[in-house]
Amino acid sequence: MTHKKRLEDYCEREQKASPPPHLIQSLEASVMDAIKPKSHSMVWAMGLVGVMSVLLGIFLFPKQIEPKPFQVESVIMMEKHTAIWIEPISKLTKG
Amino acid sequence: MEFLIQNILNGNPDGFRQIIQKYEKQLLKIAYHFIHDWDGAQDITQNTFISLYKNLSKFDSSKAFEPWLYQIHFNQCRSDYRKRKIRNQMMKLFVAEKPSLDSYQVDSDIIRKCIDECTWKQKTAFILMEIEGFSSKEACEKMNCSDATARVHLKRAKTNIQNKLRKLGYDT
Repeated sequence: MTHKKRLEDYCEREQKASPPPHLIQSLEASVMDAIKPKSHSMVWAMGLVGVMSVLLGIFLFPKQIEPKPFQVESVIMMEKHTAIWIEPISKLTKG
Repeated sequence: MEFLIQNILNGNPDGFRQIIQKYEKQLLKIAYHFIHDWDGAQDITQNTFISLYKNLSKFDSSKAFEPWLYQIHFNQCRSDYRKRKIRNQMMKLFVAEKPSLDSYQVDSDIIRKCIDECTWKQKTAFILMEIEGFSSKEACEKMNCSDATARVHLKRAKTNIQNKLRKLGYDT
């Protein structure tokens, strides 16, 4: 068989190749799904409301930090170093 | 087609389905001839349509639609083909190729390799005219070149392929 004939046979075989039907269906569906307009405005609005409420919460109602009383539990001294162990009073009283 | 495009641009994406249905099979086949894999061809064609949709507003209505669509498709094919080529070269380092026993398969594989070694334009001309059976006039419109240029690309592709086959001892 000559190379010319081989090439012709190859082209004939390739011509007969046709895409599987399921491939065409899924292609159409996936393209239409990809180009479908998505509602971004709703997501943006929800996000904005969320951020605004967090900011308002922080600025209008700042968290009161109550000072907690502590008590020296023990003092450990090792040569040049001194370690002071403190515990909240409430914890000490519970124990 | 102009009306259809205008309709889509006016916010009716369902009109795009008509464009998909008209061209999907042809574009799938062309992509398949470039990469020899239907799943890959589906991905390429999907990217072509998505890219087409995104750029629809840039379409110059004074020019023909089909060559523009085919140019997008060829660009997608070329980009995918390059990625695959690099991936295959990497794979060859680790995986040994399985010997094929079917004589038709051997022929096909060798001819595909010869076609792959042609330049991109030669390969495109060969696929459009020899495999898909387009006339040189139809092919040149899709390739965005003159009729004579398309024929020259095809002739060079055939000569290249035949020389390569001859070198491989296929002229028996």
